[in-house]
Amino acid sequence: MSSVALNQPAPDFSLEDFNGQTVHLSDFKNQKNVLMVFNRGFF
Amino acid sequence: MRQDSDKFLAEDTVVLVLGPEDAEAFTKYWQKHDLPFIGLPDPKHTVLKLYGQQIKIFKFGRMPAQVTVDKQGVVRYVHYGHNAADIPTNEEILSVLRQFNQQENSPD
Repeated sequence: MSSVALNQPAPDFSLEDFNGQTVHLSDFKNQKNVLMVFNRGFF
Repeated sequence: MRQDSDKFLAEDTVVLVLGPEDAEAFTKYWQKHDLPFIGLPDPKHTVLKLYGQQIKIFKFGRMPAQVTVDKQGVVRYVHYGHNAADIPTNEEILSVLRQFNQQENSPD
């Protein structure tokens, strides 16, 4: 299982949000910090 | 985390919540809890794997993880939970965000 390393570029990705809008991590570059929360699952 | 959503906003931070459920489950959960975050279903686990979210069969599955990325797209904070309750406090993450916002705004 890979993991990300500190002080390295974050791997870009795209996923659709639950409303069907595509979100790329790179959408936020030079605009916002990003906190990614990886859930265990809701149930 | 919801109760501190304004604090994350104040630190110029967008919160993406990723999980293994499908869009329908996310929609129900967001409607029930009225969450101000971006919910990203990842039922194929592509990003969950890319970012190395751990799965521990004997600890009831997927472990929580948090990754913070600054405005330059660089990973600045990573926490991989060792058990289901191993989650950093909001204040701990906010403190990291404050630090790199200060660094970004300080003259060289």
